[in-house]
Amino acid sequence: MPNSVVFLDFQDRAVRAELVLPWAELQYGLPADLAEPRLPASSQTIERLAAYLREHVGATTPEGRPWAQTLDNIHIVQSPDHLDLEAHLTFTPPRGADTSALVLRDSAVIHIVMSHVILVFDRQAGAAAQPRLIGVLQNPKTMLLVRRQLRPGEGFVAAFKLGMRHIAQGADHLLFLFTLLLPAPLLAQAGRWTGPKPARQAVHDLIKTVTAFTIGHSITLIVGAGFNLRIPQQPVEAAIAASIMAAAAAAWRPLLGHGKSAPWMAGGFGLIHGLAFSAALSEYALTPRAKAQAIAGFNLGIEAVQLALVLAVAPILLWLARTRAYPRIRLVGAGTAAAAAAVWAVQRLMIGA
Amino acid sequence: VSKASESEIMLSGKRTAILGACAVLALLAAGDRGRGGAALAQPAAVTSACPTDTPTGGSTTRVVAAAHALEGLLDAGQRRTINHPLELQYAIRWSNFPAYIVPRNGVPIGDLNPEQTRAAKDLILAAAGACGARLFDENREADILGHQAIRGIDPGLHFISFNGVPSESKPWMLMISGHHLDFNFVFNGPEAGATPLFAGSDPGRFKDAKGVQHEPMARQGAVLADMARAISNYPEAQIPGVYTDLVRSVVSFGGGPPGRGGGAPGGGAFGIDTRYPVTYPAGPQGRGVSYAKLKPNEQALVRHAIESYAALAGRQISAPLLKLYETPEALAQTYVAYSGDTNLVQPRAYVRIDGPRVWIELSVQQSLVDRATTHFHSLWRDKVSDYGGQFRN
Repeated sequence: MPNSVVFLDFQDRAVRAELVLPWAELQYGLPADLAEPRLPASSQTIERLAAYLREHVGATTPEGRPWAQTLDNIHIVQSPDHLDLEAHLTFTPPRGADTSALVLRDSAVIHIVMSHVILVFDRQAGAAAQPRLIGVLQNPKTMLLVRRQLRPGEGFVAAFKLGMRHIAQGADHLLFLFTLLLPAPLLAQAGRWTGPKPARQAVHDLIKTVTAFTIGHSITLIVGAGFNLRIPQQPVEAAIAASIMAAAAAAWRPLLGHGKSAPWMAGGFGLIHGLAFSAALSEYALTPRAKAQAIAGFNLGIEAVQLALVLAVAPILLWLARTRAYPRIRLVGAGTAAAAAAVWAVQRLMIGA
Repeated sequence: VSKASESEIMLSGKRTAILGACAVLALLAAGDRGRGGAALAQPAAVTSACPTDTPTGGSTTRVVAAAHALEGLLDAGQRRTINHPLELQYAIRWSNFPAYIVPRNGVPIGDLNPEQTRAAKDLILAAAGACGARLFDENREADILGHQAIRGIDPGLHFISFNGVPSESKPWMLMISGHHLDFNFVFNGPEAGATPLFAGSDPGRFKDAKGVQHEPMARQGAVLADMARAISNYPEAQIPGVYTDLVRSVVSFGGGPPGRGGGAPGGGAFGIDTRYPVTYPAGPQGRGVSYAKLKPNEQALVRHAIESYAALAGRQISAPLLKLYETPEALAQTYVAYSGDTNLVQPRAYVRIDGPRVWIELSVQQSLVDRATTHFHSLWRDKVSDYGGQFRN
């Protein structure tokens, strides 16, 4: 017997659904006087069919908060030997939720026809002409968790944007990077920061430090996300706070990581930051190819923002390092970073990440 | 090739006329037996009893010998076509749909020369036993009639496939798969492998060109109807809802015209056992009446019904399973249920046996070949040993 079909179309602000319900099966779910409709259907008939769909079809967040829903259109489609009910719905997520995941609830037809199946497709996930089957509903199962799947290529772009957003909103990562850069233009002598390095060497060291941090977090991001490692985030978040603390200490006095060892310290802390980045990707169940795309896009997104920050901040630091005010600026910066890191550390250890 | 679902194969005006003519002919043939599906209700003067199988039916030695004999007669191209790896993607490629809609693995029997055909039939007899082999022959007879109504239906489109190498010690699978009849036997697997076994026939009852009356599913239909009538005295035996088809069979196509949700979006996943491993109802609720609650004569009907399906596999394949299904412990946990017409005549009649391992369900639907009558879909699954337990997780 023919089954029902739901096509989902994930958009940035809404999920659109197209439903096709074969009348041969739908009829058993309808009141007797609706089961054999007179065509063309009266507006009253259409309204009752709409009410049936509203009762049986809906969407919620994975946590169960309802999405707003509009029934855009509904009509009975006549083919030579059968009828279908077709409808288009738009689901809009509630405040604070996005369209990356929804729970589709659909009990139309299957609440009564035990042999009936609802085939749920993602129109964008498959190749252009072939929507991908993402699940089947059959009594008593009426709900399906659907995660947005990305189109080929879209995966990279979306992951790139996600990476940019992730680090741009990640004050801790940015603060760490900034703190790391504070002493980079300076020379160390006898356990103290002294005057500025020659400009050329300062730029050189800066690039090395930033590159080392990048290599470090790329390693753990690729390994963590690539192998779906489930790393407990609370210790990672706490370790990131600690890394800021350490960078602040290093900005105060050349205690660890200056000169030749600076890139090693940056790379080591990068490893920790990468673990946090990988968690942002772990919730996406992707094919290996899509995953590789996502990791590459995400990482490059992070690098793009990071590079923008370095390009904006480094010249200023290089210039400031040559002024008398720099020791004070450096200490205020290090102190601010240390204070913020302390607050984060307490929050993350006491309250949980 | 129409990709519409089986029950909604597009009817052009011409085809409708042919179908109409078929219906009229069938009615004439049915004579005074009355209109439509009612003709199916009465046990007729047809060969409803199953021929007795030999004790060696289904024996691995015999089946392997017959498989090698057939393979020895095939040319190189056919040999490539008949052999597949023992992998889930090939195993699940069985269907109630005709092969022109849902392609099968292996070589079609229609492409074999007389000598090869004899070897193929020996193999089918060796594996499916006398009863299963007869059902195979009668399904092909039904397809001759089906072809007159729907051109794509073809008695030659029943396929034989070896998944893995036929062997007396290593696991391999024999698939015999075509319209309304699918055998999936696994030998030397972790479990005895008789299932999934899809049995049906459309039309359900017909006269062949020689005027011989056939009712391929007569035995299973009669014994399940006896059982359904008997359990209808127990209120919980009638399960709620409407059953227009089986509930644990292949995933069917979507509704709507092809390309707009209908037909086969996603192609390969449809009309085959995509959902394996299958989940089953659990707990005592909604599964019908407990076997333990039935009277001894009613219990005997349940066992007969199970045995009528076991008989569709060679004795040595089904015997170990039958033994497991009929232990007192297993029967005590077995439920039987029905929906709709207990005579199994009207469309949407449904009956089911649901044990700790055995799952047998039968659904009555309108015939597509002869729209005035009905036909059966039925399925025997084993909750543990489908595909010989070869692909469980």
